[in-house]
Amino acid sequence: MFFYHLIDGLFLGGLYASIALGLTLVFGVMKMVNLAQGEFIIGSAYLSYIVVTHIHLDPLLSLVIIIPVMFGIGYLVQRTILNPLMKKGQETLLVASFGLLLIAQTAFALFFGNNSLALNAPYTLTGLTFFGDTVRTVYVIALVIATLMVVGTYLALTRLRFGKAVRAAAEDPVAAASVGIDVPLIYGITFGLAAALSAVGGIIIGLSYGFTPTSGAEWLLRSFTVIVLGGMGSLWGVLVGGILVGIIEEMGAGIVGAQFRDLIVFGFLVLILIIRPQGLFGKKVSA
Amino acid sequence: MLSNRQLEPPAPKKVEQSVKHTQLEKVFALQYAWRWIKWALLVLVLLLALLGPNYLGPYNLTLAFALFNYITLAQSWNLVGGYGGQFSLGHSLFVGVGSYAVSVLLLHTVLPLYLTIFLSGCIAALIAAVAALLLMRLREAYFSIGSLGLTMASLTWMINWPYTGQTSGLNLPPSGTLDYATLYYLSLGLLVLTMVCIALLVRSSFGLRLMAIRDDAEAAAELGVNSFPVKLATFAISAFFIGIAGALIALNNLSVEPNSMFSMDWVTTMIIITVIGGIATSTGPLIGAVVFFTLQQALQGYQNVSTLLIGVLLIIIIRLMPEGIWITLLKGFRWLTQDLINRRVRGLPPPMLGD
Repeated sequence: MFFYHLIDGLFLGGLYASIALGLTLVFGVMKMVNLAQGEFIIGSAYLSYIVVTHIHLDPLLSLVIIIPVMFGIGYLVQRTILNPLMKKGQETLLVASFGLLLIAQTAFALFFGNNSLALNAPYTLTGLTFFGDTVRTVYVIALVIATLMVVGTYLALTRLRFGKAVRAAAEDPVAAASVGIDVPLIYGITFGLAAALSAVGGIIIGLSYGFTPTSGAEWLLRSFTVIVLGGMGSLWGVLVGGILVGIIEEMGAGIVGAQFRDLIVFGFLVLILIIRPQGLFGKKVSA
Repeated sequence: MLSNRQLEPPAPKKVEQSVKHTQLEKVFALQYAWRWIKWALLVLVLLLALLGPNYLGPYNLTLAFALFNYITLAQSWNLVGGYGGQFSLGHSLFVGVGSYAVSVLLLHTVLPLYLTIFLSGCIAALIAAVAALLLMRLREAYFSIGSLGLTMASLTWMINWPYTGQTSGLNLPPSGTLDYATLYYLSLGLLVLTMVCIALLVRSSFGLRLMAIRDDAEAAAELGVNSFPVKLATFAISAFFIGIAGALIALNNLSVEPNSMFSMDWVTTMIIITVIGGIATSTGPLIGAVVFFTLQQALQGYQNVSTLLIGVLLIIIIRLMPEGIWITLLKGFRWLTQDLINRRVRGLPPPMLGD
């Protein structure tokens, strides 16, 4: 039984890692907490819903269309709305991203109504068996994709010229600008990438849970739990944190009951913040 | 006047100077009078508010009750989020605690109603103090996330706690029934108390310490300001007023239910109002609440459109006037009077403006 929870948690962790990657990327590069990240996730799910109903593509294949669209939206939002606020400090950015959250939620409700929608694919209701424990196929896909995304982002940041520019801008924007790096452009592209990465998470959410205009906030908080545990801004922390949160949630739910899932996750979030706010792989942050 | 002057020979220069000075004095007098006008306006508004139940029907009284609570909530958030610079996303917790505290006290004790209202504020403050022990070590974004996490954890706890009726919540006993006018006066009283207390607090040495910590924690620490007790007290004071407001909201609804009482909408509203009106100002939340409430009421039939507009308004304000409506208005007024002075008395050195 214990072992089964472990496996369930591992794969649930894949889903968490896939939704949290965008959040950690934005925080790591811009030191900004994007409260609208949940809306990027849900927005991608809605976009995929449109594509799937009109073109009858497989939801995962619809990513070919959605990733560029989300990248564009993310880039534009950062350049037009957030970038002029970057120098004004965190509170301003929190308020602005909060405004985005409200706008996005309302737009979803206006266009799609308040009912819960879900993406359908042949593999949404099937399961795969590992060591005698049956896991939803979607979660297995999520774990594989999340691992690929983290490795891919890591390689892009360390091997590519562009990645080095991003890390330079994250380390010290002023110094980076002085050696000729276009920091606002880097910020815009990073935000676009974060939105594009969220698209993957959004589609996995759509396939596994269903979504309403307001479900972004809940996923945002789960993503926070993951990246706080892993260390905010840490890439590998997302993978490790996601899997740990998944395992803790499954174990906890197995012990005290499934109705306490949220309490376990959010209580755990507060607990980590108190015990080790810098997370497993982060730098020291507490006062 | 104009035609007369044209007929007359030009006055000697000395006289013209003195004319200029009298005009300048008039402008100064206007600025000086503005302070008294402000107080007079305040007294007038208060008088009008005090006489409210005489000319407002039950429906309008309920509207006023909601508006007053919005102002109280926003101003209390402003103490922590604006003056304290701690962007709390967890203030919904105290609305929930206050509302449940009054319900439980009324259901399970025989304490007089008004004492239970006061006690629910104290319970909220106590919980805030405990929460502060946990959260106040955290800075900036970590604090925001931590406070949100704590609220969401509490919400899940309340949904599952049999003592408070789980998802269905609690119904208040008949002893908790108040008429519209009483609720109106209670919320008005709380509003005035909150505004006055917070205005005095931020102008005291305590307030200076709080803002010093916000502006530069290290420098404040070096000057001997111990940030922890200040932050803890601020959090508890803020929660006290919000807890009472929560209790009043419960007394108005006559039932409490976790999903609405611990809803993130509360803190959302507090932040929106404060940011629209002017963060870290005393009058800002008042203005913000009126704007927000009017918008909400005007678009009552179109819930979605009103939220959309508020989101857009929030971004416009943070982009174009990050100090909020109130400071922008004040600056506009100063600019106007300054302009008036400049136009009337060209050539004189710019006058020193009071405060």
